[in-house]
Amino acid sequence: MCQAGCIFDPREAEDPAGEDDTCWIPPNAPTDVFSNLDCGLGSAGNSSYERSLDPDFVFIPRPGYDGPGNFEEWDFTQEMDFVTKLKGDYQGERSIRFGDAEGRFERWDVATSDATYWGEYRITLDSGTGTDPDIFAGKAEFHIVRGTKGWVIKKWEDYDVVDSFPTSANIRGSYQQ
Amino acid sequence: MTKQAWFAAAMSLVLVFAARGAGAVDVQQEETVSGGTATAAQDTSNAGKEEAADTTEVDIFKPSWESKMTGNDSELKLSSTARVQLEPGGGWIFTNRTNVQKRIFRLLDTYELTEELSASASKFEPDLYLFSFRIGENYTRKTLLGLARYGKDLVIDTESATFSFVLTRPVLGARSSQISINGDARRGLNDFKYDRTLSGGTGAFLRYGISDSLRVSGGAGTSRRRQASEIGSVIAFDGMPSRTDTLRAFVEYGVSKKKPFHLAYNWSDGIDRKVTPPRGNALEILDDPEAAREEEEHKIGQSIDMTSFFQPLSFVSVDLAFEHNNNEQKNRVDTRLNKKTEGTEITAKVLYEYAERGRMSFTIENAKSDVDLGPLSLGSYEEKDKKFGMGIAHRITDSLGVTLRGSVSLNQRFLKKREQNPRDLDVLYYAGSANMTAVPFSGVNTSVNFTFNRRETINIDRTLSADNRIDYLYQFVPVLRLKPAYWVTVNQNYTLKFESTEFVFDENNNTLDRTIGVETLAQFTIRWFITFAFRHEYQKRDTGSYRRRDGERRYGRTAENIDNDLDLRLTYRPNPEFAIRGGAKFQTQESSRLAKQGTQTVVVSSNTFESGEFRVGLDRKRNIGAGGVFDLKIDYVRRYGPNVTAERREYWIIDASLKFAF
Repeated sequence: MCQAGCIFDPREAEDPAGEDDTCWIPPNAPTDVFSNLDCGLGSAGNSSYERSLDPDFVFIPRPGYDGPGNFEEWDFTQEMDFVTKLKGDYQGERSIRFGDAEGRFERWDVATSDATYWGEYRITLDSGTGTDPDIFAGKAEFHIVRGTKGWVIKKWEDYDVVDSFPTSANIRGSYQQ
Repeated sequence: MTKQAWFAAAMSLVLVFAARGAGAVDVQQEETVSGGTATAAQDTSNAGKEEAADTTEVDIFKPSWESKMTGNDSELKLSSTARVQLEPGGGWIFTNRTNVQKRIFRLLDTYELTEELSASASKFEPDLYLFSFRIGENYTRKTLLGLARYGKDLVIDTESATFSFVLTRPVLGARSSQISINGDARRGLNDFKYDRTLSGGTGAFLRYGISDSLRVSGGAGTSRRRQASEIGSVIAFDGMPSRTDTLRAFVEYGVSKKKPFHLAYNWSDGIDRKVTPPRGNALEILDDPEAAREEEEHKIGQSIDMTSFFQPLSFVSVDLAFEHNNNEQKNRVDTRLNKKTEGTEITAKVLYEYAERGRMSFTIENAKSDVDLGPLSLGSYEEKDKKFGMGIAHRITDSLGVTLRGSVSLNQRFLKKREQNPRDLDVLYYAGSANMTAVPFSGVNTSVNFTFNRRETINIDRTLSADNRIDYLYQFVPVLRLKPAYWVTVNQNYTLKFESTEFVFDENNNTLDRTIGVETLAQFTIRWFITFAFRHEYQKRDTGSYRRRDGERRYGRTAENIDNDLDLRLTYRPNPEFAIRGGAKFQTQESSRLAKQGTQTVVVSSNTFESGEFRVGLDRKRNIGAGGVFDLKIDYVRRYGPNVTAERREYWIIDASLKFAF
């Protein structure tokens, strides 16, 4: 749509080196979103994570959180910016487990157009340098809504801690621009 | 309660007796705003009103009390606020406020108790000075289950005393000026530590009018803080000094609202020293108090903004804006927070009124930023943004109008350590929309909206380029609004939407979502006090993709969803202070997974999902005597569906308050 030399001419991409690691599944059920967020954080590309977020996504830290970051306007753009920077610094394995060790939530409420889950999450980040992975964990409310492209997460609100792990706000705040 | 809190309570009693002694007097005052602690601004406003008010007899003593209860499926909140205000005249205002609030989060098993007690005094002398003094205590206790495991609640319990003095009389030949001095002393528990803080600051802002159209203003301020913190009875950090210095300057030329020239410069430099836990995680301090460190955060920032507006011809106007800022943050302990950013943005907007009923606009934006996250991070980058947009709005007749908009933007990110972190990215975005509105007949409104978006995500490096994709959106929305009679309105919205994601290098990941929707809304006023509203929404969405088979691109569906939502509401409102409401919501969803069998697409599995709610409610508002108001809104909700939590299956929504102004 834009001829070479025009100011809106993007750079040429290199041909892919290997197989695509996209692990996206069409989000036909609310819990598909958790799977897509996990695979989206773990994969090199951002498409799975990005497509799992509602355009009006918000993150809210736990009550009394006093760590780094300003979360008054944590939105879709901030979340994707955070994920991109995180992947640059943690180039080893990355994962998010939603629910307890068996994947169970404390509560859930599912209607036809929105669903809410309350329970644990655990983010494991390996820098790939041989040191122990960093773990961030807590309890959160996940509000998931059904849009015209399937289910997407609209709100992630931390409400409690798990053991003495730092919560997701600590790692999000550390990467805030 | 602490000594200060007792003092505040005692002060309110003194005020009560003093006011009773004085009784009602004839003063030139109006009612002041109730609720909230008296602030300097509020005091100023009240004092200003004195000048213009009439000579109505008003009590100088104004006690008030409010009790409130709100509740829904997720929380219950109870609060009580007592406030006593005394305005003896001469610009003095004394206020005493006590507030207690309790919140119970039903779904999260957490609780929060907040108590606030404050007493303040302020005096405003028009065109001379404003003085205020406040003492108070704030107490908050939050019970979280995870923290309770440590045998600990989250407690914030602070006592404070503050004062401020602002000289409002113009000095040094300025048209107006403000010279201020303030101080603050506080101590108390802040979660894991006990702080003692002394702070103070001073500032001056002067505004000069060189001529009627040229104004110059500027100011500077400085503040100092000294804090001592203790963790338990062993770990102590003494005398942590902090400071902040600021500078502001403005030049403005022009008399109209949009100025031909406006320039603003801001600069700040501050060092904040405080006790922080490792990685900001207070829980690690509970495990190991010695892990606490004195953090030093040094922030320097400056920005310059320049805007210009001019109108070379009566039908052409130009808006120009330039913004440059740079900020730096250096942390001594948590060096991951170190960052240095610099950004420049230039925007130009031209508005051309080519006809009496039509105008065009053009916008050009160019921005560049540099984000340096320190030597340890691989994420530092430079970013370039370019955008061009244009729009046309034309009214063809009084009842027919057209709007067209289009834009193109390119965002490019260049990583500084591309070898270790090859995340160079370009995003090319096109957007277009067309809208037509028409009123063909009386009582008939129509509109048609078409939207097109194309967003191309281009990862440059070969390790990420497999994720390159183009997202398309096509949306067509005709809307019809009918009002055939005064007692009925009917709206109907149709939606046709196509959203696809096409991967550049791997078509097997492509997706296409097609949505067809019809929404019907109708409202009937059966009698002037009875209204009935009806809303039905039908939505059919199928998911699939165009993939290449045997050299041909073919569309294959993988899932289909059909939704029907029906919402009914009836309201009986015989007078503005009383209403009975009732409603019901029914939602059904039929979801099918599809697969290809030979040349046919067949349903592999299907399920139907039903949910909804019934609701009845009452609104009641009633005055009690001369100064009391009772306000109640209450709803009973019963929900159904296969996965509804016990707390949400059946609950009350309450919003009730009782206020008395004596």
